[in-house]
Amino acid sequence: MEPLAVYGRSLIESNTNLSRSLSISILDQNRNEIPFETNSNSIEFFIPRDPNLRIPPMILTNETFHSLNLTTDLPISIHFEIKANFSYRFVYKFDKQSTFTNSIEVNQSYFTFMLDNQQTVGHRLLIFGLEEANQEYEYRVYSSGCYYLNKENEWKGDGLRVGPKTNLSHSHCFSTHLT
Amino acid sequence: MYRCVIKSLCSPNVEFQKVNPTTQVALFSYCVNECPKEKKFIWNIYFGQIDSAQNFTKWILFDQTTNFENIWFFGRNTTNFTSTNDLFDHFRNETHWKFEVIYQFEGMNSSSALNFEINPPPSNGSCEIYPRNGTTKTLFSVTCSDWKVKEYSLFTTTTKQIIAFSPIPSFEVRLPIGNPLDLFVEIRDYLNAITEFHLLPVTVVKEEINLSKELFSDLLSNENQNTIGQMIRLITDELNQIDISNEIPLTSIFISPLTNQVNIRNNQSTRSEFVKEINRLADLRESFIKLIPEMTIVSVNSLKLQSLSLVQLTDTTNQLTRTTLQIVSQKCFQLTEELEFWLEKMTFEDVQMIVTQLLQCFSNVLTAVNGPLQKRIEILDEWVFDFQKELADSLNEKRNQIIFILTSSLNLHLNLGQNYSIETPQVFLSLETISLQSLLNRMNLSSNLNQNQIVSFRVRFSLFLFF
Repeated sequence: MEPLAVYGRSLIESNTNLSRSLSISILDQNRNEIPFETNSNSIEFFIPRDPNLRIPPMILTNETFHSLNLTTDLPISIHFEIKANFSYRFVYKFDKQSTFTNSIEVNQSYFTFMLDNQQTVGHRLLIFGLEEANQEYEYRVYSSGCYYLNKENEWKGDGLRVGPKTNLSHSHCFSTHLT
Repeated sequence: MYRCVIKSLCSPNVEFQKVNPTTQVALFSYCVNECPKEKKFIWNIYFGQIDSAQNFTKWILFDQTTNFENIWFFGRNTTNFTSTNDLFDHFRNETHWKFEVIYQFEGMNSSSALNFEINPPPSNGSCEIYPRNGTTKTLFSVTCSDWKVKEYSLFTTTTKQIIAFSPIPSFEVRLPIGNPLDLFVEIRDYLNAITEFHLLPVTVVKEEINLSKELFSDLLSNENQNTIGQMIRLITDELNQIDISNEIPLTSIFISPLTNQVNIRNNQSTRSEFVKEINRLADLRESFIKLIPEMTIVSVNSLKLQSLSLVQLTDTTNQLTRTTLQIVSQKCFQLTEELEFWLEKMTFEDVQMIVTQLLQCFSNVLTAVNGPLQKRIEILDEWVFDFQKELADSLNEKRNQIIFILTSSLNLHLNLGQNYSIETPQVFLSLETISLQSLLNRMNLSSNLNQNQIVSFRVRFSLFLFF
């Protein structure tokens, strides 16, 4: 059995009390579970976070780049929030890539961006930053995940995708199965 | 032919079956001989006007059946028909009702009907409580006039928790803290018709008690179930350190509940003091639980009281030792078996309360046993990984069986189109009886099974995966 919330292994501080679980079953008249499949679309659901979560404040910085270790065993999504009073280019790269392959021009004061759990899978390191920023700005980064427990009591993330409506109070999940 | 789904709720009275206006009526019909395959059903409702001079009942068709389909009436075109108590509640003047089922096949109609007479809930009585002020140790007297009924039981009004039950109209109780504390007496007749009589509010303040093993054996020496239930509440309130200031002390930091936000008192003690304190309370709780005697289930209310005690005993999930968990889980399991045994004698409302409390008990037990393994709860001094894992595995194994029994108990009362949900700090459970076809359409799912079959749709949301 693995811990549900990954404890103390991620650079992003994870609070082990924050998880909830959801289970959906269809039972026949003998109360046995009926198997069913999703059509072309996934099932969408929201899992609220623990209401006692104390949201850490945004961090004030003037550093251009930040790095995150993605050393969790389970796939996670990464969510960025940035407050800045200037235009910049938001860039990120994974692992040992030499150049920033991804960039976004930003000219709004509050900017949010996410990398879902399928985009981060297999990577160990994420470097992101604000190019052309030589002023102070605020940022906050948090992670989310949607998992199921397989028959061997192991947490798995396949078939589950963290959705764009995830925020600090709930996780948005898409699932192609209801295991 | 047809009969009531819950047999004890319809009692024969020659021409008329007695029926309670305080709960739903669920009927099912069946063919005595083999039914033709091509058939349709329709249920009709009539109310009766009795001509006592001629000893004759004139039946008038209740013409709003269609308007209230899937609101008051469920399964009108199936073998099972349910009428919620809203019908009787809205037409209180009508004392006689007839439910008729018509089978239509091959151009022929065949019908069958059952006549009901309302069993009026107990009336013309009163209850009072004395004194009106006291402490958690005060013995309060509840005295009712003789309503000539089966049982009296006392509940808190806001939380609907049972405090005591009694076949005789006078009894003594110890009460939980409350200012004011609102209480009502549930008066239940021999056919399970219920009247709630609200008492004048009382004030109960906390009186300090010194928890010790001697005190426990003293308190639990009494053989009365009510007294034991009240002692369990008194002691667990102290162990859970509940106070009325609405703040939760550091001793109850555990996996936080689904509902209401918890305010944690800061800078109260250092972490090592906190760990020491929960270990002390866990030991006390274990020695207390070991002393609780075996109690038999004498009535539905006894099942309510005992299951509530188990919720109170397990409420603080970070103070449950392996021994405590073993004893309590065993008791929860026994009560679940008792629930199955009593099922045919209970109204839907009774089942709801008992299932809710048993769900809370199991959720607490499973949270407590799995929490430390998943690093979500503080580990107690007695911790041995292998033992904890072994206990967790054995309890997790029982989980499916328990959920099966609790779900089935509720499902028995849910006809096509009906739903019910339980919302507690530990677990949210929603059940709905629906045709597979409409469920698959709503959820955008597919299945190769018979689409016309009626299924139960269950959604469970919990603190913890293991429940």
